[in-house]
Amino acid sequence: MKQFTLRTIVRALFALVILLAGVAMVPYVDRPAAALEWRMMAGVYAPELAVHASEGALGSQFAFTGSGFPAHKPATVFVNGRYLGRVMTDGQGMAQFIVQSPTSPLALGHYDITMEVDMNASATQGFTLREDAPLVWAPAGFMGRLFVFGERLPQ
Amino acid sequence: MTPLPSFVRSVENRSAWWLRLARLDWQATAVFILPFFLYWLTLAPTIYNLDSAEFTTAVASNGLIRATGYPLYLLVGKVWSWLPLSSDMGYRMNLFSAFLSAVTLLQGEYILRRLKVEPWLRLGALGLLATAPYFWAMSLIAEVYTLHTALMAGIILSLLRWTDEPTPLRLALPIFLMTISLGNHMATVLLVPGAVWFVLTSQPDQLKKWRVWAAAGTAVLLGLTVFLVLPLRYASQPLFNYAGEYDAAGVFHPVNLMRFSGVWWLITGQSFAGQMFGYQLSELWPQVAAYGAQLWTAFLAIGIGPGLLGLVVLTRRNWRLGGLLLLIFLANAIFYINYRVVDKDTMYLPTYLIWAIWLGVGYQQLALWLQNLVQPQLPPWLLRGVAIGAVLLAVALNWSLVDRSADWSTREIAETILAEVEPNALVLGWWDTVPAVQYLQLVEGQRPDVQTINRFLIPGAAMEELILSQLDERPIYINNPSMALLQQATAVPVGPVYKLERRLVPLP
Repeated sequence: MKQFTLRTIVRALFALVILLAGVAMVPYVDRPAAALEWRMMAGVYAPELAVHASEGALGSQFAFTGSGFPAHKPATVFVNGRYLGRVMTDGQGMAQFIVQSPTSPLALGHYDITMEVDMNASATQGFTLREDAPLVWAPAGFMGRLFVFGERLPQ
Repeated sequence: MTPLPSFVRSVENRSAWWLRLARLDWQATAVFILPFFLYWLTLAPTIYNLDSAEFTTAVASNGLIRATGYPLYLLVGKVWSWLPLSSDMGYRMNLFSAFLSAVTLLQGEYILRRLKVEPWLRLGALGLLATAPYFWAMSLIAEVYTLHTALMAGIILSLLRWTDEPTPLRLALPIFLMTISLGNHMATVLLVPGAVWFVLTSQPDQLKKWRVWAAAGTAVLLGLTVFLVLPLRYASQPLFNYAGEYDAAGVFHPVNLMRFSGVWWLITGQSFAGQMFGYQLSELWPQVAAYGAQLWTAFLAIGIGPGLLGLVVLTRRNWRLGGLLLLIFLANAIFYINYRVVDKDTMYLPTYLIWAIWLGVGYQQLALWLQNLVQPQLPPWLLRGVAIGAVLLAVALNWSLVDRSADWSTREIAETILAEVEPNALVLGWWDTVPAVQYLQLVEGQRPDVQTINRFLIPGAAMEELILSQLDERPIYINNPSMALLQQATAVPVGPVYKLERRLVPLP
């Protein structure tokens, strides 16, 4: 009887662990908060520019990855509409670059980075420099040309 | 013979009705009707945006869609569109997705019955699939994904039926379904490794019979006929055609679908090859984690452990079937994890279907373990309660995320554009702008004077030349002017687009 009870308890506990295994991950997974609607996917098939961090302290580095652009083409990079430099897209229409932000307190604020191959292949992504944000660096192993601009935007 | 009095006949009719009702498969009916009702309550009320607008417009106007062509969707969607379900074509095609989701779930019910999963646990597993955010969301708008899952469930079910009685004709059915499914979604090729594994390991001797090969070949040929939709539609020179390119004069040059090379270009999706396996190794882990989180959310956490248990139990019990499901799951998960597109989260539905099957089996195994406890009836009922309770919780949690029943935004935006733009205007925009405007023009007959071009269909240099050459001749509107364009023209907001006007002095 004792053996039966022990086996029963072990089996019940095992079943409970399996049933609740996913629930144990609750603190680590965020449920989607925004509605699943078309605006989430509005950039579909259009070129895309992604940045690894949306905000950082003064002097932060932001790593950008452009994708969905025409392959093997020179792309122009702009900061707030001002010319910053050029990168080449690879065979898959991708390009990576790093933007080094200024350290002067005058530079606090939002910046839009645009990568553009031609009039129809353009994508913009931004970052914000905030006093209370952490200093961020390009992820280890991230390869790409480094662009630097001062607190006064390039002319 | 003297006819019976009418009151006797009516009693007889009533009892016949009751007999029919009593014979009705209530479990299968519930698995079909309940989610269909849920989807109907939350369905998008009119034309929806992006791909959805493109699919609806192409179906309604006998048009052609971009790669991979989707001829099966164009064909069966057309048949569905004839049903007098609503005066709004957008709503009708949205309802088509809901119907196909319910068909997917119904077939899932029959698959789980074969795997000896008890009714409440089947309902619990399929209920979580039905209410998974992306599965639910894709059931509310015109899309190809629920037709894909319906065909996929049909392929699995027909393969299982073939193993009951391995005749050549029974094998021909899944092969036919797989071939026509290629005409809906090329991702059907991701089912091939699993299906081949299942056939080779289940009945390898069958392949030595010429009748099997003859039936399979006939099934493939019959299935491939669906691709004839493409040249047939091309021959009718449709007004809505996304298989081609505009030139700098704004003239559309369709890909020649009367030629094999043109059809091949379209159906193989070569224009999207750059996005396939588009991540570097260092970028891959976040994508894997994102998919894991999505699966976790889809099955509301509670479905993860039993799903994994079901995978193990099913593979140990029937390694051939286990291999089929695992290969389908892995092929789809690996391909889409590596697919670099914005909307890939909507593409994992095949993996959800497999997970729901594993979940049903896992629930059943837990029920077996709990059956022999001191209170033999209590634990299985508790498990059933958990399984059904999870579905109800998923409905409550996900409703607000997916409910599109009040979403008129696409129609409103498109109507605003057509109301605001000047006569004979040229409107250039991406997927969130142009297909819905074209729907209003081609399906509802609004503003035929306006020319609309999806920027996906015109190279950058051609668009630049087109805009600059016509800027002084006609009103030109664009949804998102580039830096290069802003150097040549000013952009004045007009509703959701910008009107372009030439700069007197171009910016340096």
